[in-house]
Amino acid sequence: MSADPSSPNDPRPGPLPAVWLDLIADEANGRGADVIARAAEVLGRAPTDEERSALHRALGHAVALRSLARLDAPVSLEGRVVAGLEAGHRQDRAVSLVGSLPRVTAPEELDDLVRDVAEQDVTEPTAPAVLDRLVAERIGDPEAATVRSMTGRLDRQGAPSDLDERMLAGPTPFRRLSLARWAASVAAAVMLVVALRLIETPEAEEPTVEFRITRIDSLASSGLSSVDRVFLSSLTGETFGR
Amino acid sequence: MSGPLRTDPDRELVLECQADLGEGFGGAFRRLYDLYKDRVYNVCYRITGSATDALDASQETFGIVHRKIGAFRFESKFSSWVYRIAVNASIDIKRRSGTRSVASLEALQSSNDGDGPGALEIKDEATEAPTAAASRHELEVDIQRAIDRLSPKMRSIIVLRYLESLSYDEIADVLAISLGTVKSRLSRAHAALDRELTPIVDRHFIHGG
Repeated sequence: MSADPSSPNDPRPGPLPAVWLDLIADEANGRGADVIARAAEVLGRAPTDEERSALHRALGHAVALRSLARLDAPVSLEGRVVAGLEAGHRQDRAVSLVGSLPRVTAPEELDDLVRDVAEQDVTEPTAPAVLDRLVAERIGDPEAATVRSMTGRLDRQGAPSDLDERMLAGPTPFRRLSLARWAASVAAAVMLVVALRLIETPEAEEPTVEFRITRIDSLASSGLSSVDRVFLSSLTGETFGR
Repeated sequence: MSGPLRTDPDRELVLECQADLGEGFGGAFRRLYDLYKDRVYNVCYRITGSATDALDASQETFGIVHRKIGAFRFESKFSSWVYRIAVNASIDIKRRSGTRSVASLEALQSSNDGDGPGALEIKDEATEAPTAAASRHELEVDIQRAIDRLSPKMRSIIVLRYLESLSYDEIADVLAISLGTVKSRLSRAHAALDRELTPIVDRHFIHGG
C-alpha cells in the first residue's frame, strides 16, 4: 500500500483489510454470497473478530451510501450552461475581433511634429535675480530675514466698511464729549500733576542742617545779632545791655 | 494511472465536439451535455451537499469542458476527465461558499415536491406510506450529513466509488492518485464513516428493518 498524503484530520486506517474493498462493493450491489467465507478466502486466513466486525460495519456503510437516490440534473442547469457558453462565446468573439483589427501606420504629419519638438531650443531655466538678494539676506541676518519672511506672509487687512460709515457720520466720539466732562478731565489731570510735584518737592528742597556750638559768657560781649540776642535772652532771662 | 485509451466509449462524440467548437451549445456538445449532466450533477451535489452549490459547480464543470475539450487528447478516459473537473469544481465551490452544512431536510423535501429540478427519484412514492417516505428522507439527510463531515478527499472517493460505481482504476485516473492510494484512502474513509454512519445504519437498516 503506498503512502497517502491525506490531511492530518484523516483517521488512520481501520482494521478493515484493503483486500476486502471489492467484496464490500459487490455485497452492496447485491452480488455477494456468503461474504464471510469469501472474505476469509481473499484474506487467506480466518478473519479476527475485530476484522469481522469492521467488515459488517463497512458493508452497512456501502449499503447506506448505495441507497442514496440518484438525482436528475435540474432543468435550470441547461439554461445556465447555455448562458455561460454564450458569454464565453461573446468574449471569444470580442477577443477575436480586437485581434483581427488591422495595424495602422503612423501618419506623415507625425514625423514633422516630432521633428519640431526635437529641434526646439530648449534652454535650461535660470534662477531669478531676486534669489541672490534673498539668499544674501538670509545668510547675513538670519533672524531679520526670518521675521521679514514670516511677516511678509501676513495678509494685509482692508479697512472695515464701518470706518467709512463713521467718518461720514460726523464728529468723532471725542468731539462729542460734553464741556463738563471735558473740564472734569482737565481738572483731574492738573490735580494729578500737582500731587506729583508735591510728592517730589520735599525731596528736592530738603535743607542741609549745620550745627555750630559757640560758648558765650555774656550776651553783651558776644558778636551776636540783635535778633539772636533777643532769642537767647528769652531763654536765659538775662537782660542784655545791663 | 491509465495510459492512452484507444477505445474510449465517448471518443466519437468528443471528436465531433472538437470538430464544431464554434457551434456553442448546439450540435455534438448538446449531446455530450445530455449524456453527462446527471452524472456531473450527482457528483457535485454529493460533494457540495447543497443544491445551489451543485448547480454552480455543474455549470462551472460544463463551462470548463467546453473551453478545454478542443485540447483533450485521450490521455485518460473522457469520463474520468469530466469527473475530475466536476470533483475539483465542487471542492473549490464548497471551499469558497464556506458552508459546512449539508442539505437540510427541508431542502430535500422541497426539492422533492412535484417533478421539478432536483426531485429525488423515489420510484414508488405514490404507493409509499407517508411514514416510510419521511423515514427515507431522514435517512437521506443523515447519510448526506455523514458524507459532508468527511474531508474533501475522502468525500470524493466515497462518492466516486459508492455513488458513481467507478472502478479503482477509474478513481485513480479521476483523482490523479495511485491505485494503492485509492484503496488506502477508501479504507480510511470507512474508518471515518464508522463514527458518523454506523449509528445511522443501525437505526435505519437494523432496527428500522
